[in-house]
Order: sequence, then structure tokens, then C-alpha cells
Amino acid sequence: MQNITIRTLPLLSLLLLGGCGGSDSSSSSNYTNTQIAPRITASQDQSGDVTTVAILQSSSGASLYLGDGDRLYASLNTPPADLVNTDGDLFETGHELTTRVQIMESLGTEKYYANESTDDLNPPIRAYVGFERGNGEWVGQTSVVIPRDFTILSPASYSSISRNTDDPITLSWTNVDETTTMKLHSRVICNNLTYLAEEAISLGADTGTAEVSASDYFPANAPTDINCHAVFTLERSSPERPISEELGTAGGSSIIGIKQKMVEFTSTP
Amino acid sequence: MTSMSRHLLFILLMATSGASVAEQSFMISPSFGMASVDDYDDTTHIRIDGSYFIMPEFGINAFVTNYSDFETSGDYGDAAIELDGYGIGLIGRWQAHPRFHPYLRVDYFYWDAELTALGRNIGSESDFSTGIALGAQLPIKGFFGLKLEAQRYYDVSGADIDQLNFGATFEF
Repeated sequence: MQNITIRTLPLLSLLLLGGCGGSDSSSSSNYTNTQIAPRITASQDQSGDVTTVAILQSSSGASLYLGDGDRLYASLNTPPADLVNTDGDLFETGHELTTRVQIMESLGTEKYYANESTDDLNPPIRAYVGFERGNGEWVGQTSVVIPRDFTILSPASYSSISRNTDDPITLSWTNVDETTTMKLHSRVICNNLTYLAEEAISLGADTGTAEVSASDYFPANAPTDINCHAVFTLERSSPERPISEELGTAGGSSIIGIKQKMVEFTSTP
Repeated sequence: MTSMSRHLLFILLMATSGASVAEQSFMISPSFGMASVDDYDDTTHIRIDGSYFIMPEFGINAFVTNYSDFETSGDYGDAAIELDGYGIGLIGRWQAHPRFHPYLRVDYFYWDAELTALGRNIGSESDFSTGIALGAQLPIKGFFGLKLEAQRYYDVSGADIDQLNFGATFEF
């Protein structure tokens, strides 16, 4: 079996899923601040990079795109408002802006993203998003702390695990945080992409362990006598938090922080 | 007083008053140079100084200056700062040699700065800063000469500016 290394990229998955809204999207410039409801996730992947994604909708559920100079800013550990709205220490502010604050880019209608390295940052990592209108009005900013780090104890990386129906896979991880919830994203590839299965499995509150059966992740149409390459991406999510007041936007605005870890193994008969 | 005495007194008064005026001078000095700020690319600037020397060793100075944008860039984009201003100062000069006049100048600089980043104007600031310059005037011929100086302005919108200036002097 060809050894395939798969990198689960939140950005890539969003690109694959992007394009929602299409010609039915409306410009944000047609809506007031309290009619716009961004839903934001800030996700730190295996490499340590944080990808912040904002999905823009109106309070009535219409898909929106940023129009007429409206902007979303993203930054880590530095509130964008401290830098974007300043009339002092311009030299330091200018330099900080080039290294700390990004304008979130479009991933297609309604989705905006920013990807940031955390190489020079100490945890906890706090992801910020700021919202500014085209007329220069600063609407507000919000933030979320990325959930604390954990290590996947089982299954072991690059191990071989049987799909014996009587012996489900036991997932276990360190540094339990009972205030968070866990989700498993599985991706199994057999015979050089001849058979592919991608699943998202909610594991509930973080207890440090969970069991998954082969039927949960193995491609239903794949022969049972072959080896397949599997990637499990385990996500720890903070509770979804409403942010309407602090961001100055509509009810329904929310933010979630996610920490991801990944393990690869071979799934055997 | 005899007529001889009056004549001598007249000559003495004329001689001394003529010598006092000759010690005073005006100097115009256009110059250009490089300016440096930490974390920013070096940039050029121009300035014009107008000095009035009450005596050869001491003068007052006024100037205007303009800088090309100070620019910096990072992973997430570029930033640029426009800076210009004017000010006054005091000069202490030593005519050590006919062709070498080192000097020390203290400036009081009124500046105006504007920051552009993320594709828009971020903010502006105006304030006063002090500066100090150490240089040398090099008289060449008659009223014409050259000058070279090193200078620092302190806390210009939070940063110190180091600069080297090179220019011409026209002293009358």
C-alpha cells in the first residue's frame, strides 16, 4: 500500500466546501451593523497555525459578502482595535500592523479567512476579529481563546489497526477539559483514491476517551479485505459564544475556538 | 575737545562699529541626506536651514524639512509614514580652521506624521521633538561652502530618527 501522508487543512476543506450563496448573496453595504451576523471559528491545526474563518450572513439568514470597503480584520494576541484606531506612536503601530493584523480574505461569497503563524507567540493564543465599515466606522471586535493543547495517546501514529467489528478503536487523549466538546473528522483512502470516506463524528463532552467502530469511518463500498490509509483529526471546541454585543452585530453572531490534532494509521481487515 | 581729538574719536567709532557688523552673518544651507528609523527602510530627506550668527561662534537657526516615506513591510502587508515639519534651533560653532568649522546645533522640531497601512490612512499625529546635530562647515571660497552633519531627533511619534545630512552653505 502506497504510503500517503495527508494533511488535514481547514482552509482546504473550506475551499472544497466553498461557493455557497453564489448569485444569491447580498452586499453587506445594504445592511446595518445590527443586521449582519458573522459566525466565526478560529482553529489551530497540527502545525500550530491558526485559521480564522468568518461566515457572513444577515440576521434573516441571507448570505452576505463584504461590500463598499467593509472589512474584517484578524489578529492573534493583539486586539486589532489597538492598532487600527490610533493617533500616536505611529512608527511602532505601523510596524505592528504589518506583522500582527490581516485583512480577512474572501474564500468565495460569505466566507472570509485569515491564516496566521504562532511561531513567535506564547499560549494561550487568543484569536481576534474586528469589523470596520467602509466609511471608517469601527463597529467592534471579538475574540476567543484557542482550547488548550492535548496529545492523542491512542491510536498510535502509523500503527496498524484491525477493522474487527468486535474490537472498536479506542481514542484517548491528554489534558481533558470538561468545558469543551470533541469531534472526530475521519478520512479513509483505499487503493489510491478508488475508495474514499470522510466522516464527522460528534464525541460529546471532553472525557479524554471515546470509541469508534469501523462502520463509523470505513468506506461502505470498499472491499473488506484491503488495507486503507486513515487519518483521524480530533477537534476540541470551546462552547459557541454569542458575540453580538461586543462585535456590535446582529443576534446569531457567534465565535468558537478549536484545537486540532491528527493521527494517521493503516486500517487492516 | 580739539578738532584733532574729534577727528580721532570719529575714526575710532567708525572702526569699532564696522568690525562688530562684520562678525555677524547670515547663512542659507540647503541639504539632503538619509534618515533611519528602527524596523523601517532608510529614506531620504531634504531640508533648508536659515541661520543668523550674532557672532561667529553663536547663532540661531530656522529650518523646514521633508522626508520621503518611511516604509516597512511584514507578513501581512506594508506600512508607510509621511513626515515633514519645521523648527528652530541654536548653533554653537568653532572656527577651528579657515576651511573647517565644526558646530553643534540643538533643534526644536515641530513635525506632522501620517501613517498608511492596510490600504488606508490609519492615523496622524503632530507634536514637538528635540534634536541634536554635530557637523562641520567647510568654507570653500568666498560665501560658498559645504557642510556635513550627523543628527538625531528624539521621540518623533515614538521613534528616534538618525540622519546624515550633506549640503551647501552660503554665508554672507
